[in-house]
Amino acid sequence: MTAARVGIGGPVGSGKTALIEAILPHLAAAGIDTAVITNDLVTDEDAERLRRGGQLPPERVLAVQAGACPHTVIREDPTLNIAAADRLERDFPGLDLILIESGGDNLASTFSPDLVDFWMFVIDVAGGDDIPRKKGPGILQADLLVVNKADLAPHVGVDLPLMLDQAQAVRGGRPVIATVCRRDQGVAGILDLLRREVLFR
Amino acid sequence: MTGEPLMLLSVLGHAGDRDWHDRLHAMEHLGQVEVLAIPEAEAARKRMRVRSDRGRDCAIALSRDQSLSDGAVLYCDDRLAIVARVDGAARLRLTPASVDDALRLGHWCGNLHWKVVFLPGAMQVVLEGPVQRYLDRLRDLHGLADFTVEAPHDP
Ligand SMILES: Nc1nc2c(ncn2[C@@H]2O[C@H](COP(=O)(O)OP(=O)(O)OP(=O)(O)O)[C@@H](O)[C@H]2O)c(=O)[nH]1
Ligand SMILES: [Mg+2]
Repeated sequence: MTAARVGIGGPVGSGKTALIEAILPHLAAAGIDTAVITNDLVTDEDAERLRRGGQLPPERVLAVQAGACPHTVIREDPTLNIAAADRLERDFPGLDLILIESGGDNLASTFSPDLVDFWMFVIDVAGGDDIPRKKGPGILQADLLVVNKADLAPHVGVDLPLMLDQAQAVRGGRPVIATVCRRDQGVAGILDLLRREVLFR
Repeated sequence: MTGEPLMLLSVLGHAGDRDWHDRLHAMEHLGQVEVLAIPEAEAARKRMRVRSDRGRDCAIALSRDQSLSDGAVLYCDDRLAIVARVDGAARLRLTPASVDDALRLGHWCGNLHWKVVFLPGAMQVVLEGPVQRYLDRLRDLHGLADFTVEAPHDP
């Protein structure tokens, strides 16, 4: 079987890389052979951070530089990311999963089905509880909406249960998971969903 | 979730192909053909978890060079065949009044990242959500370009 390709999109600083850092130990424990592709504008910042983190051998982390709007390389023309994913699959036979982090973007960013089999959109509580109500395509179309930094809710005046209810409502009941990636809360639930929907194991 | 899904790893053929047509026809009489209904907007995916019309839990994981289309045969042994049915999505037909209007309209729909099908003198927008969501986006354009909108109909 090929490796599943899973996209992680969302606004700047919402916790996309933090989610990868938090889920890698769960994936390792489940024996799911994983590699990562990061996308940044003009640097390899996130890839270097993941390599430094040491949770994966450094050669399993590839970086793509978008150069301009991050959505262009995950939706309009995902060639660079497809090439990186193909290369990982060639270099690591038996790979089960490739996580592809988009550069931080806006609420309209979505992934092409040519690139990924499943994608999640990560927003954070500190962005405001009105974000789900604004119904951006990222919020509506993602296979999973992750509401990260749940720990910050009391500090930024956000009613988290209400925010989650509204998120569920605009998404017609499709999955929404609240997380604190920094403290590994809610992350196991993301893995369960990935196993069911795309890893099939 | 209990139990393992039935793994469907490749497109074996097409229900419209002569050999498959006869074989599936015979199996259908024996009640051995199950259908996976896949919305057009999802058909570009290589992997998905779906239930057949008889409730069988299936997991599709195609290689990157294969793709789902209506009639794709995904499984077949002597007792069971599984065929994908890709339901055509509803479409909105947009017809510009002139070349100038067509340029505006095409640019607008492109900016919205809509999936379109080009026809002679018109284009169809493949609806991936409620039609009103699309009509709302076209409202502002009516002041800038002359075009007609035909409500969703089957392709
Ligand atoms: N309080 C809190 N902070 C978090 C959490 N998750 C991430 N952060 C912090 O949020 C900041 C941004 O996290 P990143 O993981 O870099 O976010 P990102 O979405 O990858 O950012 P870009 O790739 O630059 O768009 C960092 O300072 C993280 O430590 C969380 O659950 N709670
Ligand atoms: Mg990041």
